[in-house]
Amino acid sequence: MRVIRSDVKPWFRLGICSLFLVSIWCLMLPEISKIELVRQWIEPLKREGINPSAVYYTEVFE
Amino acid sequence: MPLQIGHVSFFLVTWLRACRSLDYDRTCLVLRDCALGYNTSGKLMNEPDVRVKPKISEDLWAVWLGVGLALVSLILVLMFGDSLKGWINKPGEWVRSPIELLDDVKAGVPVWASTLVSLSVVGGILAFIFWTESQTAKGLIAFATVACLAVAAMVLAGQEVIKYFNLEYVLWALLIGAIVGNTIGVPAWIKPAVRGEFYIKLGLVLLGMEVLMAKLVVLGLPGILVSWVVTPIVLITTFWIGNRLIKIDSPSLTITIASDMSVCGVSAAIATAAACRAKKEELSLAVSLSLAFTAIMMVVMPLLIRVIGMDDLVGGAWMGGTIDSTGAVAAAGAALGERALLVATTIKMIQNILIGVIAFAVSLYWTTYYPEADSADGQREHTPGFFGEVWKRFPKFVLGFVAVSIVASVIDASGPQGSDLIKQTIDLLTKEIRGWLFCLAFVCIGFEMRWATLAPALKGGKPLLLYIIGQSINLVLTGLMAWLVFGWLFRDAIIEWLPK
Repeated sequence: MRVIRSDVKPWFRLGICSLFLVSIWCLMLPEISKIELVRQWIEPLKREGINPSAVYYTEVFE
Repeated sequence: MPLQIGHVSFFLVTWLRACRSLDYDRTCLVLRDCALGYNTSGKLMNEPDVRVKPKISEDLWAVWLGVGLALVSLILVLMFGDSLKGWINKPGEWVRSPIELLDDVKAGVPVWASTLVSLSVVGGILAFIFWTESQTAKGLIAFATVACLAVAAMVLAGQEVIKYFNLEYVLWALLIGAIVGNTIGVPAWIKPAVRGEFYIKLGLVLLGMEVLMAKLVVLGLPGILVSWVVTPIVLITTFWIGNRLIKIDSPSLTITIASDMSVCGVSAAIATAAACRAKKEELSLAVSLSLAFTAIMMVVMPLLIRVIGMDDLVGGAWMGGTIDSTGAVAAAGAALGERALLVATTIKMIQNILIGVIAFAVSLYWTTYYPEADSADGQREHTPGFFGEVWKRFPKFVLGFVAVSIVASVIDASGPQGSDLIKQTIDLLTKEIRGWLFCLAFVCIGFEMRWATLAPALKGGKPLLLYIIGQSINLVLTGLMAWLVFGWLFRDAIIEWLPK
């Protein structure tokens, strides 16, 4: 593991990466979720109470 | 010689220190000297010539703490039952902004509060280990920082699109860890809580609670035939192809990819990688490959099955045996219909349950055939005798995992009350704690991932090639077996059980 460096550049890079993540999650993904095709995938799963991100069978039905 | 007050206090202090550092030999020696009334002022005060053994391994800590946590969970559920509902949880789903989560309430408990309680439970376990290492305060500050990153990963995974396209929290935990590691680096003060292997092992011992062997009998022969005739064949064939034909340098990478592809995705990859002591980047690579293909297969397979006009029972069995991730199998099954959902999830559940057998078999095989794959600290110490060597190299957490699974299976099979107790314990406590432990583990693994080392880890595309070949074999064999069992051999019985 690398030990923390004292200059500003690494923090700037971290800030840029965080901003990039925030913009994808808060701007792009909400728009994607409005697309009709995506809604057609999501809505039936929500109605059935299925969690497609389940890692194990105990998490499948919410 | 009568003991003097100074000697007694000296013995007491030394014994406590020995206990704290978990130095068993020294603890016994101090107790023995105390009992015999030795004047140890010379020898012990100037540090004894006793060979100080290393502190207890994380492997053993995982076993004891995992088994203890499972038992405490059972007792808590027996005592408090449903009043525990909602207290151990993770952030839920959001659509537009993560701020929505602040208003999210599950079972009457705000999600922020249950997140805090869940992480406090894990922090409490860690605090005990920090205490034995005399770094409680430093360790807890470090843990709080890693925990914040784990919360961020869970929040990213909770976005609606991400969640419904099976992009699980492990991926985002890896990404967040990697961003921190590759930009500002890992500050030295965080290191006490950077214990990826420990979180994984503790999580796996707790996972034992969900591996209920008794469920296999209930699920029936058709599902077992599809899952357990094809799965070992695909697993072994893929491992052989990776080692002999594609010639991937690392057998542990090959078996981890083979296992996550043929068994049940991320959970199988974590269990197998821990059993064969795969490198962290190998586990990350296997998990990333699996999640990428799962997201595609989950959407494409139901469409393909409809287009070719395949029967929904056969299609459900086919998807259950081939799509890696459990949640994705349920989503794909639901896209095909009610019966397909039931068949697909049943088959995946059998594969889920048998990861215990896979982890045990892989750890035994590795211990026997790959003696060079040694403990994580890289130290080897000769132990006389074959069984001594096997025991030394065997990943002990697997025993905790199997023990918890056996106890849970016995309670589950004891009757409706036992079954309810296990279900409640899993739902209310252990599955969420296990989820947090895996999330923390992947944040720590991400810390050590370097963008520059990712390309060599891909080994010229060989792992990707292995995954594609293995999954192709899986698709063909599972398809044939699904047609044989659900389309022919047991068709009438299944239609009687599941009418259209």
